[in-house]
Amino acid sequence: MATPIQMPSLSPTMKEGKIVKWLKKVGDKIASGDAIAEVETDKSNLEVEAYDDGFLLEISVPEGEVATVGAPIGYLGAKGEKVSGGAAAPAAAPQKTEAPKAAAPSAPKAEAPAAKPPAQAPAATGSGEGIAILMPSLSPTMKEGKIIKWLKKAGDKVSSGDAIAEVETDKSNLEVEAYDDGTLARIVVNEGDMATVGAPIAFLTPKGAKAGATAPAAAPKAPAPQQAPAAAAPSAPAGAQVVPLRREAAPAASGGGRLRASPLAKRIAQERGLDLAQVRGTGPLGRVVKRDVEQALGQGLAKAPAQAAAPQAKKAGAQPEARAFGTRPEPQAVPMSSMRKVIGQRMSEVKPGVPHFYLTVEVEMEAAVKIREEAKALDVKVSVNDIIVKAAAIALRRSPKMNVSLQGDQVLHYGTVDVGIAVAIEDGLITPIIRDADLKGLQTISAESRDMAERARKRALKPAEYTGGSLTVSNLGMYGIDQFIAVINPPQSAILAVGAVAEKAVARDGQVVVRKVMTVTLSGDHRVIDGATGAEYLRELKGLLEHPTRLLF
Amino acid sequence: MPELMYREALNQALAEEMERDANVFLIGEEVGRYNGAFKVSQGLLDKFGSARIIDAPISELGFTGLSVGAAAVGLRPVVEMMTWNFAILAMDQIVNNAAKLRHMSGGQLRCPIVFRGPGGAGGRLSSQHSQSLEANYAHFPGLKVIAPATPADAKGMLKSAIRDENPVIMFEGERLYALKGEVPEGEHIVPLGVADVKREGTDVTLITWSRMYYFCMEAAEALEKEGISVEVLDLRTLRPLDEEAILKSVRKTNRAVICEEGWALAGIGASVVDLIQSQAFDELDAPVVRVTGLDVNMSYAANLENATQPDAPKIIAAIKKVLYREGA
Repeated sequence: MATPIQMPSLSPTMKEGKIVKWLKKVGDKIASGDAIAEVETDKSNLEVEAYDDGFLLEISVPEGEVATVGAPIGYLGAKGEKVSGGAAAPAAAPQKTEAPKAAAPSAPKAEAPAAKPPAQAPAATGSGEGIAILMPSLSPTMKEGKIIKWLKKAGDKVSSGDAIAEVETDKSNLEVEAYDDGTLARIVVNEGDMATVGAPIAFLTPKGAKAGATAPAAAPKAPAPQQAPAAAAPSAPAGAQVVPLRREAAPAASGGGRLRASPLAKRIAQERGLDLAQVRGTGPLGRVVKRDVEQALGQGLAKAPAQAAAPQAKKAGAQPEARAFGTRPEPQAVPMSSMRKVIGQRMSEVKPGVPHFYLTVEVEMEAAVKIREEAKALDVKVSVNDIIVKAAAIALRRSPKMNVSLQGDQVLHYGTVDVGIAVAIEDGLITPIIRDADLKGLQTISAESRDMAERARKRALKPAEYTGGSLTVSNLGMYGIDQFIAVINPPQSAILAVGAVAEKAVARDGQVVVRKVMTVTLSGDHRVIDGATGAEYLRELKGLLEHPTRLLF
Repeated sequence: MPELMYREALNQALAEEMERDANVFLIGEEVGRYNGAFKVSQGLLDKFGSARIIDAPISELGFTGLSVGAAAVGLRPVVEMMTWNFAILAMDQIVNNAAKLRHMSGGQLRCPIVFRGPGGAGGRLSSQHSQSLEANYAHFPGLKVIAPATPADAKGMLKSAIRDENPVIMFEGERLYALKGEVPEGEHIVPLGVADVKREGTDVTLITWSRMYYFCMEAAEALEKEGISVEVLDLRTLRPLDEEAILKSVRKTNRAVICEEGWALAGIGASVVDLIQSQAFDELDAPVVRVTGLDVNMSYAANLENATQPDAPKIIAAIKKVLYREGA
């Protein structure tokens, strides 16, 4: 029985994912736990795992294309089995996040429903659905809840006590538990949708019950030719769910053998915008190697320069070539990456949604810079930013009113000091968190920062590494920026915008002297922090940086 | 520049370092009155006396342990192993003491000591006396492992090894001792941990060390006549590996062949392949190929002995494979 493989939710903010690469091809044997595809989320590249054994019957979303969370990206089933439901269905069918897998694994052999009159397989409404799982009341004031995330999908075995969904209430995010054993037959309320307290959000097929009888949604998916009478189909309201998002022009490669090319040949082809499929490989087993790519490039097989230029322009430091005077090339439309979309969306929510206030202070950095020099003499790598992170953390510990986060209508007071560092990466930014930064030495902070920045650039950070914290340090000093104002990254409540350390003429004791000065601007969330709290924090931070021995106390 | 045999270059290095530093002494079987099993210590007993050129009984574990102790209290012993096959007896002292003294004492003790002797096949010595054991020692943190191929490197690296503050394992070769090469006089120092491009090329990087270097040069010269440009990279030091030099050359040629006399499984070459695939994957135009000793014990028969070891024709075949010129 073909079951869909769905685009999983791989980060808290992920709405859709791009298939970077299929790690299995059609016809491959799959075991539960196998990585089957690599997916680019808004945060990082992660692997999609199979949850069942079987054979990959179909790839519905080819490499390079995007699918929303929950949409089928491929189908799994018995060897040689055909995926019939999707292909025949109208192309206009909407993509659904709901799990079409439903009762598929347990769906009866095709003869069974045929022998039974439809009456015995009640329509998708009413009590015949099995046990309804209701939106629970999770706080005294809760009237409705939003499904943040389904932790189980249709077809999953559920035991009493299992967390099956994450629900956002008016207070916080909580988990809904199952009170019975069985199989999750159908999800009624999709992720992101609301349900009032007491309304069914899903149906459970009790243990031992015939799934086919309780989950009519399974019928249209049954690929067997002699399936349930046609009349059953319309009664299944969610019939269209199973339709995979069809894509035109699936790559020829997905149909059969994979394209063999050496890593170097692939790299050159990508840089030069050459389609490797058009290159004849002369290496063993037809492998495309460097000489083949070079020959093809010599024959002008590369894509139009405009297309090839796009990835090239991304290279750091690459200067766009001057165009000839008088020509006016059309602007190129490049699709937004998942990360750009989320940054765009979050920033446009944060700026009007979070009332910012700003405090700016100048810090003399002589002593802090000296720490770096002393570290260098000891062959220890410590940057000025590491010192700022450490000072920001100690200051945060000493200013507990700053170490907060607004969650619903509660203010979380953290008992730990976790400081984010803003890392610019290609086409975006991310803020990995240094945990317990107040307790860590400069060397540890430095090593962790470098490690996480490096992995951020490779998009290899785990969600736990960039969530949480109450404050982020964003430093544009290395670009020579004197001062700037940063946007808070909720649920954090503050961000430090750090400028460059530069020599400036300042007045001290009636004299004009030259000092290394750095400007720091704090953005605070005025809903939880007030100006005086922020000012006290900055005073502490300034003191720590100007007299770093205070870090020891 | 004078031409010296490999053994003469080593002798020169020993004599110069013993003159320079009174703490340096040589200990081993037959190093004194017999002037060395392979004549490396020729004339040194006469020159430095029996307090510094010490004939040890046939007790590798014993004199190795004694020397490790001497190093811990300030002397700089050079321990000659008649061959590395016999040094297996002393491995406990080398691995559990020499390599770990600094660590176990929290830096209070140092162990500036050199263990040196021939490795590899000597010619019809059968399985117990023909082993290339450098991979065994390269496995251990706390040791440095060197295996120079040329007389000049032998001199320069032995001098560096004696001056190093850590235990250094030096692989020489029975079949290297009589080979001649130009050797700079006096203070010739070759730093440890630095590989050497012995021959520049553009089509493939041929990575090797010790005696296999000569087969590699032979193969490179033969291939030049076919229009194939081979870059020969002599690692010289096996721990720490000169990763930068390996990657630099592979990034230039996009292909690599590694030739080692020892066995393939868990060999040095396996670590070099790992380095290349993890750090220069996108530079590779072909899988890396290794030429190694065959996975058998060494035969006594000369024809089988030769068949067991890498040689120029095997290296040439490997290079053609990575150049996709098989059967061409």
